[in-house]
Amino acid sequence: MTDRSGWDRKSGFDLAGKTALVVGAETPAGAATARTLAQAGAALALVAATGDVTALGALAGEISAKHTTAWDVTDDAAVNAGMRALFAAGAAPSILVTAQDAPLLAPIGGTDAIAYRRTMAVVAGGTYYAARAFLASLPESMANPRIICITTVFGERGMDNISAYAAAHGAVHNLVRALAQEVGARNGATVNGIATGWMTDTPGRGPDVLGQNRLMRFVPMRRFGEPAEIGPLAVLLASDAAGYISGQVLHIDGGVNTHL
Amino acid sequence: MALPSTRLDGKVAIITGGGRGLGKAMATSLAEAGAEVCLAARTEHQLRAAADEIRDISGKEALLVPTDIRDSAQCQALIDRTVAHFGRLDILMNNAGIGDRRGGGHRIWDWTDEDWRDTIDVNLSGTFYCSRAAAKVLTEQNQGGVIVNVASGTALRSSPQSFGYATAKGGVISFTKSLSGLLIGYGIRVNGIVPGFVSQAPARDEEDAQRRHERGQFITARRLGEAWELGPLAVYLCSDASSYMTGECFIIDGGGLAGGIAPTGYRPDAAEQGARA
Repeated sequence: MTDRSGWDRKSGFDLAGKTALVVGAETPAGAATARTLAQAGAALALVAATGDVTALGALAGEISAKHTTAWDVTDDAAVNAGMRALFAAGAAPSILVTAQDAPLLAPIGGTDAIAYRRTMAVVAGGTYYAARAFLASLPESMANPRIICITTVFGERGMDNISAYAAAHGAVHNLVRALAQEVGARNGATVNGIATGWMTDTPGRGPDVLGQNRLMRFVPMRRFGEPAEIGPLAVLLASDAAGYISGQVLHIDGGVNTHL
Repeated sequence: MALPSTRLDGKVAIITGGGRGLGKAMATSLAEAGAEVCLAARTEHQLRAAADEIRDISGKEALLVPTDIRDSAQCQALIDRTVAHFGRLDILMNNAGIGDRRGGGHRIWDWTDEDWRDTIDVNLSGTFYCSRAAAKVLTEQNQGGVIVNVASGTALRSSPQSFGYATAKGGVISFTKSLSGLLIGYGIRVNGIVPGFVSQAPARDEEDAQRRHERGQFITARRLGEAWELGPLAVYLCSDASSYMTGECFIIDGGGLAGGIAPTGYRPDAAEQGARA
């Protein structure tokens, strides 16, 4: 719609006519984001990143997902083949959301190479493979492609006993910044991240009662976030109104990153 | 099929610098999302023109309060008049700002004390004056609220051509983070918008469009931003859609600040490295 100023304004919250592919839709963040994208009118393709499609449960039916499948995101050949199959089946997503996760909570001396490689492979490797396969399959003519990586504030701030997990998410944060530069000339493409703080499903957060939880009192909002609070930002970033937002990792964290 | 959480029906919003450019665009989007809006700016005829646009799109009748935000009494009067008119306040967008009146290219020793004070007053002190007055009303209402401060990408990098403006806007970013901690205990969220190069109005003619196009090639997105693109972001930050976000400074700059360590489009391939050697 052209307004009196002469701007052709577009909605930031209506995704009708678009298809979103959510990789890692079995995670709380992935499932909640898929729900909100569907609510905004997007058609959904869901991928269970664990390779087990039953992990999606009732989600596909609940939001009438057009395509439902499972890939092992640590296997680049499986991701490439899966992505090609989705496009061949007519899914044609212009929006990729990555939400797969593999928390590793242990002091560095208590981890081993297998656990480390698993976390890096799912979080960093899986995001990289999914983004690469998506960009390879995406038709050049597709307008305003979007990559949205759901990550955590552990990717930019340090904390005890999560070194491998923090390193893996740190890789995702800078993948967002670098890939944003690389796709900047491509038909309105953007790449952004959403970094969650302490959520109601974060492992290791302690009891969900303010009086009993020193960590919860540390969060400026004095509560943990709900996965449903992630989705509206994903919708905005996915919309045609967000073409000038790119390379950002935005915090949905109750203000925790403003601490010391 | 817009998300219900992005509606602002029944909310009252003040937008400073609301007469043109980014402020007008954000006010238009807030009104379109259902908010009642009060526009503040120094220039009354611009406010009237902005109100006409807002009426066109939303059917809302904006309240206009000519305000010089360098004057704390006028900032207080802005908040008071808005509450008197609409009966409440929910949202303050501190958007008013102005470039260095000395302009670029001046030596630092040519700046007078007056030049410096004016830059700090308009771009930083005004944000403080309006926030102070609004925070009191919001805490007394005890129904939460939102403050959004508009800073500038110039604050995050060396900006020799506009160092006074950039310094004041750096203060706005710091103020945003601290104010979020001060007010979150009252359920008031405080966030910032950090725009990069954004056009205030559509191109006047072909020549203007071409100039903008060329300037845009230095930006990751290969274009300048357009004022209207701040609107949906403002609605997101002012609505319950961003309920778990506070203290955030949301950069909207076409990807520039995420890169910037090599020219846009640079390819670190063997040929270029060889040529440099």
